[in-house]
Amino acid sequence: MISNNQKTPLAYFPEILIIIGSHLDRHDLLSCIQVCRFWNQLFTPFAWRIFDDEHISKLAIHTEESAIQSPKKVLKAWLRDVFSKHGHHIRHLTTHWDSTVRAAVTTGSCTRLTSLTVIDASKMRIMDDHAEEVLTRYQRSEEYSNHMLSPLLKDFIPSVGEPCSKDSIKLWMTTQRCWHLILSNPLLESLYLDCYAWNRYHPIQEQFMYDTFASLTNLTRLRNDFRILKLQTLLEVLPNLRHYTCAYFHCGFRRTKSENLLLSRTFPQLASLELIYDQATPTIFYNILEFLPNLEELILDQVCRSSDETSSSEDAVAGALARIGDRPIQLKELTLWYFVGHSKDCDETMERYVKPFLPQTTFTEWTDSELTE
Amino acid sequence: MTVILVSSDNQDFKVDKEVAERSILIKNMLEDVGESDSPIPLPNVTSAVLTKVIEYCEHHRNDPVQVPEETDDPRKRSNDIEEWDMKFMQVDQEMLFEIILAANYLDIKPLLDVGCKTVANIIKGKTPEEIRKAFNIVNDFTPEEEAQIKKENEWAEDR
Repeated sequence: MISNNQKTPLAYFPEILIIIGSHLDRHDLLSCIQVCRFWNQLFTPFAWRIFDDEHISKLAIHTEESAIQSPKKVLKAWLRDVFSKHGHHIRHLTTHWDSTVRAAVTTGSCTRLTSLTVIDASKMRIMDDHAEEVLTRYQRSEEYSNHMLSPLLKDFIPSVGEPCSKDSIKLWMTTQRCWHLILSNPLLESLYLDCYAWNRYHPIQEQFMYDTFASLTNLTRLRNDFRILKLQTLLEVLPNLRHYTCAYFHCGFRRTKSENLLLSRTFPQLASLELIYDQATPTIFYNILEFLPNLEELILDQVCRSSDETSSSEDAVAGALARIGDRPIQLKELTLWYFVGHSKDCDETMERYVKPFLPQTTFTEWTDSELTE
Repeated sequence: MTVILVSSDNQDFKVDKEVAERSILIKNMLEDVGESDSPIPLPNVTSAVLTKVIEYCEHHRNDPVQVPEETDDPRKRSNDIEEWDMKFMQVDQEMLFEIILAANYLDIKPLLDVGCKTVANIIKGKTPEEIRKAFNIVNDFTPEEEAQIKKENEWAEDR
């Protein structure tokens, strides 16, 4: 009789412990795996499911070893050690450091991620002292030209002639490792690349990004601050994408180049689209509504006609509305940031081209004063 | 319609069929036997525990069937115990464990879940040594193993 058996307390029923484990967060799971051998075995996969290097306490890692070795080296060795042991348990990885990406790539263990977040490189602590040396070796080697043609390296070609600072080489190496990690994780469902600065010196080729995304057949959520992509091509290679965000802002505010946004066929998959720093003309706005029939949420800087577009806007809007016809527009929320500032033109555009046609939509319009408060 | 459940210590419990069928095990048994009023023996459940389990099933007799929710955020899940359930689970640890084991055996998923959440809340914020004490677990690591595991795992910053 199980329930009366005092010799077999709950602490030894794996089936039930696993349910209990699913209700614990990382911190408590890390305590659980230190309880006994049985719990260690059982809870280890749970404890390593989520890894965020921002939570690493350097004090905890740097114990007696930090007295003889540099903190960087201790951290690097620790990362390599835990990734080779537990990398295959990780499903959700958030990284701020090159060393983490590097440990994940070099151990080859981190291949079952469902979500990956790479945070702003300008804040990234770059610790790769050997980058320059490695690069020089590449350039001298006979395989140099072959390497340069491999997808991971070809992007470097245009800038070979330029004088590159050590930091820019480090950034480039980090970028390459990051894409290596993405390519090793075909199960990714969510990908967030908050690292626009990496692209400053050696831009990643657009086609390479499309090809990489095409291998991620489960991807439903993408935030790409890496480089502006053509929406049409992106949606063609990602038939399951439901949420797309692009906040590529280091080049400043701008009017969207229409060729990046204009669609020419229907993509039913997309439910939300955030182009935080983009201003769209009425033509682009209605093109989005026409070809993204299931779009529920749209975030832009503003909808504003350009001075040379008055008559063509009228025609384009009328045409798109005619083609949309009786199909209900699903857009529930339209958010406009107005980072560039409010102008008479955008008010007029909203009143004339947007609001009258979207009775079901909630509008959120931020003004400068609200933002600075 | 009522059914009779018999606990391990041979006590009869007369309950509504609807209440008894909160247990998937009993539901399946009743379906297999068809129309029959023979008592159902539950040799793994004592009368004290069965009383509690029936109390739970009575209270939740009209609940809709749960749709399991897949989420990887544990914080979202362990704080959402209903008030009645929370009070219901205020029992000594031995009883709590027995309710969980009974819920597992009788296949009552929502009760199993509430029980496990309650245990999870006991674990929260405790050190490994405190957990061992709470669950009467013997530390079987060698000192070397313990040091190695500590090194690998004590990296999370308290927040």
